[in-house]
Amino acid sequence: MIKDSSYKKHIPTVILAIILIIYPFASGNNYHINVMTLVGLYTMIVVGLNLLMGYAGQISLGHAGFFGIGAYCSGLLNVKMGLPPWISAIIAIIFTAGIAYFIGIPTLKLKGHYLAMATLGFGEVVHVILSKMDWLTDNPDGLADIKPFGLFGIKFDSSFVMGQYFMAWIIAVAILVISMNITNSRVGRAFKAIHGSETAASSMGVNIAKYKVQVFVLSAVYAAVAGCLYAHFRQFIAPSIFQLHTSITLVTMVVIGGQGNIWGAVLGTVLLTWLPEWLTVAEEYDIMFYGILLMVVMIFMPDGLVGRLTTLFHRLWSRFSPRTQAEENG
Amino acid sequence: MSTPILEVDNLRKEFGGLVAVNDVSFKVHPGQIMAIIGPNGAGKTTTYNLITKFYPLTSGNIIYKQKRIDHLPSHKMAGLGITRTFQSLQIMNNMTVLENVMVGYHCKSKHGLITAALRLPLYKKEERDGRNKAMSVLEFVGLESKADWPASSLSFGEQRMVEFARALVCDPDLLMLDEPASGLNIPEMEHMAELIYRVRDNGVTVMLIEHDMGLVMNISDVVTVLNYGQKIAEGTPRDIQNNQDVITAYLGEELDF
Amino acid sequence: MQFPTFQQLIQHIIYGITVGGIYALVAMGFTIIYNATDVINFAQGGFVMLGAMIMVSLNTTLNLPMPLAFFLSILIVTAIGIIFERAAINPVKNASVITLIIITVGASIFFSGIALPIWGQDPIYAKPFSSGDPVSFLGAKISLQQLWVLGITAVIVVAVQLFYKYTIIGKAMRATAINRTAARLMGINVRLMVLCSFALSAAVGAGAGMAIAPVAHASYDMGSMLGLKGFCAAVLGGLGNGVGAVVGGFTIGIIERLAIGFAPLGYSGYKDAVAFIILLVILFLKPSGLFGTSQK
Ligand SMILES: Nc1ncnc2c1ncn2[C@@H]1O[C@H](COP(=O)(O)OP(=O)(O)OP(=O)(O)O)[C@@H](O)[C@H]1O
Ligand SMILES: [Mg+2]
Repeated sequence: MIKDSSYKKHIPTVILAIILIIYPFASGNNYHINVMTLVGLYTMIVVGLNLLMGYAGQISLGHAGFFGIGAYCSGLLNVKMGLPPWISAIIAIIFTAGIAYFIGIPTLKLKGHYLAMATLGFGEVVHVILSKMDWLTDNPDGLADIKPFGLFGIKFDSSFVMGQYFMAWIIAVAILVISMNITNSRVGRAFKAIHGSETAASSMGVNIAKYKVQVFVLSAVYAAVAGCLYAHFRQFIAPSIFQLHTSITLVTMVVIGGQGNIWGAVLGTVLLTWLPEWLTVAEEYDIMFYGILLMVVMIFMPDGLVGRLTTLFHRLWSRFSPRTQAEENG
Repeated sequence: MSTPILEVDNLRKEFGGLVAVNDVSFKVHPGQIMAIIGPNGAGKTTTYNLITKFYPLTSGNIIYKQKRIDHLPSHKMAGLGITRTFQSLQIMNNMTVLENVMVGYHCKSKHGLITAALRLPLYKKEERDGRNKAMSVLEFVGLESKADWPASSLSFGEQRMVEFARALVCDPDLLMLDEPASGLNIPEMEHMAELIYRVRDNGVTVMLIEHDMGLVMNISDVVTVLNYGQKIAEGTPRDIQNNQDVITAYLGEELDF
Repeated sequence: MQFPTFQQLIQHIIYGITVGGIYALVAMGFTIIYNATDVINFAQGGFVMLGAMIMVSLNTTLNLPMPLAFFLSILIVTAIGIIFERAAINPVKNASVITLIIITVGASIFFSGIALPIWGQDPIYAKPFSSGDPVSFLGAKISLQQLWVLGITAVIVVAVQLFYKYTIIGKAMRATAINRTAARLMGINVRLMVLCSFALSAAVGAGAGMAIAPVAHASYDMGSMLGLKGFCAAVLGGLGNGVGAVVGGFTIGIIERLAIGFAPLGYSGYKDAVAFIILLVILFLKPSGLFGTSQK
């Protein structure tokens, strides 16, 4: 009855993997490779946010906060307590998950605007705390001297551009695959069901509160993973990236890519991370154009690019496919 | 008579000053089709919402399979074997037909986030079982060919069927239908009536809220009549048709027995 | 914990009231638009910034007298508000909360993106509205500009209330805020009311920016923090509640200042978290805010 077409759904993953493997060699430009490494880190967060927003229908304007908690926690454990980066990262991720759990319980009782506001408030509180950390970091600008990851005696510091690139993307693709598995499961359907109708979901046995917190914590964990990698890649972190501006950029990546579509998350992240680079041609007007583009895309493509492309594709398809046409007419 | 599967005892719900359900008691016996009828605003849907815990009770008891269930949250109902449909369709428009129905399998399966993320054997088994079960229920309602369609692209009548199918996937003992035939055309309605029969014949107890008297009188074993939150009559369809109180309650509405 | 003297306390409270007045105006701006559209306008801080920067330019560069610069600046920012509504809000139909949030954030980025090349990165000097010595009050000093801020806040709050009470458009806007469908059935042009709310909100924001320009650092990014604090104030008062917004603004201004006063040495930097902590506490305990009745 059910065809085993499972090999088909791996095609996009394989294509992505091939592009990712070829890219650094084809590009050969260290700066560009570093930007793509950053894309990899953002992809992790955006995939999690997509689960939260696109699948479960919950907004967060505070995910830069989890990104920051992960980064600072791992960095501080490493610098202040001398823990090896891998250990400090794992502790940081667990710590972030704990925070997300305790914040998530009261926050996710809120809906719509109120949820947006509470997550925004959380993110800003985290930002202020991180900004005033100089008593701990001994450095008014941020946290310095974070040790790089080491594997089999190889140091993944900033001079090892390729190493950082592949480490970031191997983890990002793992997160993508894991997330796709989740979306095609009982848990993923519970997330979607909450978005579709809380009433129906609950009558079918879905514990709404539990799954909301679960997806929130999961997305925070992804952000923390990205944060740890960011901290030990850069070896220096400043609070300015962990604030509302970044939270909103992340949300925009989800929306531009297309909510409820894991591949959209990758597309949105690539576009929005590169956009400022491309806009440097506009020199001092780059910020202005960035603002305009955000507005224009949201006004004309509120479903995001993937959504838009899918609709276009369906329209073409129905035009050229006689079967569907007959069905529409009949 | 057999022990009732569901026993509702002095159920009461007040919304501010309005008494939507006024000390209503009734029993549902296994294997029956029990209809609840009454004019608009009589408190039928509210009664369902109380039984399935969407509203907290003002007072009263709900006893299901000889256990009190009024302290349990709504998401525990499906696990106990009580599922329902909704008067105002609650289709998940962001999912396919099959996925919608598979949500109904939630309480039959138990794999969690990590099992799913790593595709452990339990995940694969439950996923396969859930899919097969959902497909067989879709076949039962005649929608198997549209399993992969977005639920939002179906017609209203088909969406009612999806909701019906979703409520059946986890093999409920008590199925509570809230106006399953409203908005359906005649053939669809006949199909629905036949399906309800067949579900009952498979041993499922059915509660039915319905405005279409033809349908109610045809298929139910027992009818309970609510008016202004109060139970005004209970009996076989024949008793109800001849009950003076019921006729008065419906006065002014066209009654088409 | 340190304990300020009575005089310092008064000084903090006075400063809190001044800043609180600005938060109140920004919060009012949020409220006006939220009531008409359910949009949370993240570009509200942009209106504040534009009001300040345009006034300073008209005053110092074009040498216009201060009152003229003040009113011209209000007009220009109001026009910007109208254009913003027509260009970016009006065309989107049935947009989700998140789409609208991104659009208004885009607008706020756009506003600072325009301001940056025009006025540069550094704060620009804004002349106080009048020169003179600070006045004493219970041993504390109040600068004349602080009095101006309070005065302008009071005038704007009262003017908006009068506008809502006594003008046809104001009444129609109130009706729209209470029930959009009913307003439409009564023949009110709801779309026009949305436009008016953006105009009014922009004007209020500009007023706030101009009042505070001489005492704060007027720069291209001054709007972002003010916008967020005003946003906290609006939620504290109960989103959509005009009086609540004003009370919320003063409350946050004063608490924030007192927190600085009482904070142990070296911890006053956390003051920026105060508004957001208040926001979280109110959302967790009573999401409808101090004056709200129910969650919309
Ligand atoms: N959440 C609620 N808050 C306030 N009043 C409610 C609520 N839900 C229902 N009511 C009121 O309770 C009464 C009973 O409503 P209910 O929906 O149970 O009627 P019903 O019998 O299902 O009617 P219909 O045949 O129209 O579906 C009505 O007067 C209704 O307005
Ligand atoms: Mg009903």
